[in-house]
Amino acid sequence: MSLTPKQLGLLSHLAATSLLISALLIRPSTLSHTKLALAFLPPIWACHIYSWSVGLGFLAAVHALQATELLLFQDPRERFQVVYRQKSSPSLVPRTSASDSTKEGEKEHIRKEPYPINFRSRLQWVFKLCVSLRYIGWDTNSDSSISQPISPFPKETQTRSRWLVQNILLAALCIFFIDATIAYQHLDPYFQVETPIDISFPPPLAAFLLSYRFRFLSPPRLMRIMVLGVQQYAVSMLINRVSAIVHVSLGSLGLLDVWWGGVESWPIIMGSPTVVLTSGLRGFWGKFWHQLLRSVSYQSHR
Amino acid sequence: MMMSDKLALTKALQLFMSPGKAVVRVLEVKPKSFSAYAINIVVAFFVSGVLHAAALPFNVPGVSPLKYASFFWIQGVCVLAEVSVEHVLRGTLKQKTWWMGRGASVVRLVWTVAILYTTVPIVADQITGVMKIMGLRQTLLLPLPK
Repeated sequence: MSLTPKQLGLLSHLAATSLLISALLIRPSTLSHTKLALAFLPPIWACHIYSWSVGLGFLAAVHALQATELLLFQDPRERFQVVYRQKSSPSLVPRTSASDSTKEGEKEHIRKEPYPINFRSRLQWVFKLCVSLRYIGWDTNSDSSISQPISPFPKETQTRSRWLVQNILLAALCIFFIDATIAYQHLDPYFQVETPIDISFPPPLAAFLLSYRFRFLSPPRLMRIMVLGVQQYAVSMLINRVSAIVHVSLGSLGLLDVWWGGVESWPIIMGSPTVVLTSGLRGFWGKFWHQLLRSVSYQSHR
Repeated sequence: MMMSDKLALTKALQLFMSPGKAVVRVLEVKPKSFSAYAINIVVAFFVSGVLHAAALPFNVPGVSPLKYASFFWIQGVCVLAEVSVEHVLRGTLKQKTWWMGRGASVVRLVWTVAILYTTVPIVADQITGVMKIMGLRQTLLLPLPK
């Protein structure tokens, strides 16, 4: 049985991920930051270049940059710490730990876990690092603001059950918008045949838009941009919310710890569009649109 | 490896703290200056353009990864222009009255909408180009028009 190039590309991607995990599992006393980067980055890049050449471009590009970020630009084994937040009664909070008061009779206990010595704990630590593209739940010892969650939900008032209901409704709304934009694309020739974006609506579609008071979207370009924008927004949001709902549900059943299953570990991927009023185009790309690639493409100095 | 070689290598690698920071250090720009911030913006949008272009399938007729990437590069240039203007006007904007604040918000909104309205067709043409080859997806809930 021979494998197709796509399957080989996927295997190559898995090999690169395994190499990254293996590299981060090696303790700094065994291999220094510089040696680790020199030993592991070339084979990781080679694997990703192969994946890219067979059509897994985005996966390869993002993970190649993530590996470079973790092995070269940053030194997570020496500088990063996992942050655990737990609400507990004051008597349960150890005196030595950092804690902030939140509500009456409750305190937020913050515990930070540096690179562990024990292999099993280290494996969990490294796995968490490799899946944390936005460094949520991490103290990266950096002056950057990228680790700050962008959740619009207030922390104290949000119970888990209320959060789940809100997010299930949000996911359902995303499915509706995705469906509605796909249905529209079946009506508009711009999405089906080679036509310029400014071409007029076909008469049946123009009549449909008019009958539903969508006349304000009459420049065809505006309508088509809105359809694509809403679709991209809803797809990103749906993927993010479904992952969040699954993890928080498992967390509420006690099957996952707070780091994986806590509400605060799953901020919404998109920000508020009103940020455009205070920050313009910079705010649109920097706070409204998703920040998934921020850690691999931007290091704030401000 | 000699100790001095090790130090030199470590220093060379420390140059590359992040793509933007690396350029800032190579050009010896003051890290917290406006110039460093501007360089970070340009590099971030450049990297973003390359990443997004890599996502496009190969050899699709009429679809250009370069055009796709250029959308993000243009956004970088526009963001740079915006922050430069705000940097020049920062003294005026600090002492703003309420009507100047509202006016600035309207200008920012109009500017953002105008830039997106003008530039999104570059990326939309590439996305729809792929859709035309792959075919449109079917709806889950809503009935499709006959």
